[in-house]
Amino acid sequence: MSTPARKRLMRDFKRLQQDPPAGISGAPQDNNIMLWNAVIFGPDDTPWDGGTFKLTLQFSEDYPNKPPTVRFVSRMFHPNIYADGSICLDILQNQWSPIYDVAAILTSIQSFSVSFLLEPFEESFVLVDETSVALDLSHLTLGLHPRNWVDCPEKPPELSLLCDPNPNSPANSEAARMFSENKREYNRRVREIVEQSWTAD
Amino acid sequence: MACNHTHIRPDKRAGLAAPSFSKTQYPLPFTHLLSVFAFDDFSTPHKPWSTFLEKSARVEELVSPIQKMKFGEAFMEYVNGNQERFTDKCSHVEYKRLKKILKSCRACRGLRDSCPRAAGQDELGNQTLPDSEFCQCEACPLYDQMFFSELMKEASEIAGFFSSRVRHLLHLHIATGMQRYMILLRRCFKDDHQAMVQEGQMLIEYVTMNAIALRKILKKYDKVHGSVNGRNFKSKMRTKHIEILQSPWLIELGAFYMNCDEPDGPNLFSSSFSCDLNAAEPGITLMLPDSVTLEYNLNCAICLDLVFNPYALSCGHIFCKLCACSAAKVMVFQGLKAANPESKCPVCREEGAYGDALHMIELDLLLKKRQSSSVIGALEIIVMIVGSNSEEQQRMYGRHFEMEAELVSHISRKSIDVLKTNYRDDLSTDEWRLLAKLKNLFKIQ
Repeated sequence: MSTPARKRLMRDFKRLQQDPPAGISGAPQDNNIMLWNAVIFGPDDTPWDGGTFKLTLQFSEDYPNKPPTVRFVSRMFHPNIYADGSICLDILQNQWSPIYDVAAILTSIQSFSVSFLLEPFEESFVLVDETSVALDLSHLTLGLHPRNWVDCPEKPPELSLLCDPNPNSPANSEAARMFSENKREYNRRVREIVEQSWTAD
Repeated sequence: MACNHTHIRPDKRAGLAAPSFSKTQYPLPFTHLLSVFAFDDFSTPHKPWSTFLEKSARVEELVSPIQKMKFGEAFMEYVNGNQERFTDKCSHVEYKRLKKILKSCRACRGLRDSCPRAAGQDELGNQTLPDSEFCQCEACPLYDQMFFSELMKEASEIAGFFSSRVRHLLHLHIATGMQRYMILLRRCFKDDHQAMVQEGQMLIEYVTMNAIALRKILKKYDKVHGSVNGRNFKSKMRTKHIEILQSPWLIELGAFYMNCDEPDGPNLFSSSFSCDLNAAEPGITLMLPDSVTLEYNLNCAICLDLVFNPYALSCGHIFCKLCACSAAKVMVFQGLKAANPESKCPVCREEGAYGDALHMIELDLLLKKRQSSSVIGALEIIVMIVGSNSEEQQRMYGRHFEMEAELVSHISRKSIDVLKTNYRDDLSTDEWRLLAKLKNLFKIQ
């Protein structure tokens, strides 16, 4: 049965094959186009360099009007990634737009680990609801699709629904604390995770 | 060299209010402001344009003469010749006037650089006055505000005039049934197709000439003042939806042109307008005068397919009606007008973009014409899906169905007649054979 969501996912797959972004690969499962497996390579010149991290993307029939559920299968150590691999990322929650495709999602997640290393922890979090905190990546996603954004370079996505930064309830409190208090130890733990990603099935 | 340059003393400069965009704060007319910046004291009474131009001409003699641009002459010629052609009063960029203002700015700058006193130096070249004390007309917020507000007013008038004229023209072209009858009745049954095409051509010329004039003025402003205010002004125009070359009405006008370009008739516009739907990024290209080429992507950013039943939101982004409705969380039958005023455009996230969504009928018509070959694809899909089981109830496959004529994938007597009427020349012998097979398969008389 062909639905708008499935048609759109077929196009996403075609685009991803024709014009794959650097350090990213993804494909739907053989018998289910609504469930994708993806691999993100750790960005160069960061502690994540050399890592290969596996993810799953579960799409609903509401796609592209609703974002997919994205989870890391590989073990991660990051202030914005929960123990079960769920990601707290604004564009996968209240900053979602139907123009984002699979390539855009994966690129955002890839740049998300970099941005966290570049920006102070306190400034990186934005409150999504009472219990979770998401990394504000809306400014990074602007560059993903020049075709879509070229008309409005002066209008980045707004964060109208998001409240003040809240560093007190991150997705991974240990990683968050370590990042702000002991950067060297944090980087060491990240390197461990990277090495584990080489041996993980 | 004597310098007749009036220095603005700190006490007088301090009297200037901070720049604001409310007109009430500065009730001075534009002409008065310009005479102020023609190196007079602030006590100067209101002076007519001629006085200002004489003054700036005197100043120009002191600096190297600025050659007239070729475009300036062409534009003035166009404006002067345009009055007879357009029946309604239409706005234009005051190109000559604005250019004179910029010349005076350049002249002022030249004076400041060449005259030691003006540059705050003594005869030996030593600095005597701080930079803030000598005239820098490019740094004056009052001048900038009036220059840009005048330009903004002109640009919005041009955009308004253009969209209303195009709307009227396309209404004449698209109207059917009783509506068309009433229009023809009002026009004493004169349905002059050539006149419509000619008006379209005039509108294209109008919008292009004014867009180029605006672009050149802003570029010149930035060059003279060494600023980025001109570039920022362009962005502001875009956010206010008065950037005429990005108007969906221009795409509609281009589509109208291509719809008028009959295959048998003379190819009036084929060199200027093209539409490639088979490319990876299907688009429409408008080749305008003065080597301006505009390319519009016809892929819907939501479904990533060629737009179907296209609607342009007020921000100018084009989507399929179905996609736009689903993004705005409204039912298709309710239409985009029913969207929540806080709904944002999926691309630029502008709020309230759905309220004034424009149904791009001419573009829709063009895409339907150009996609006639895909009808055959739809027929082949039917054969694959339904197979040879004639007992199986016929199903309808295809994209969004709104008009009866679009139900081409439902094989019936009616759809075959539609094919014969509209696509006879497009179908090959093999395709007619396929049609005959389908008739037998579905027992169609």
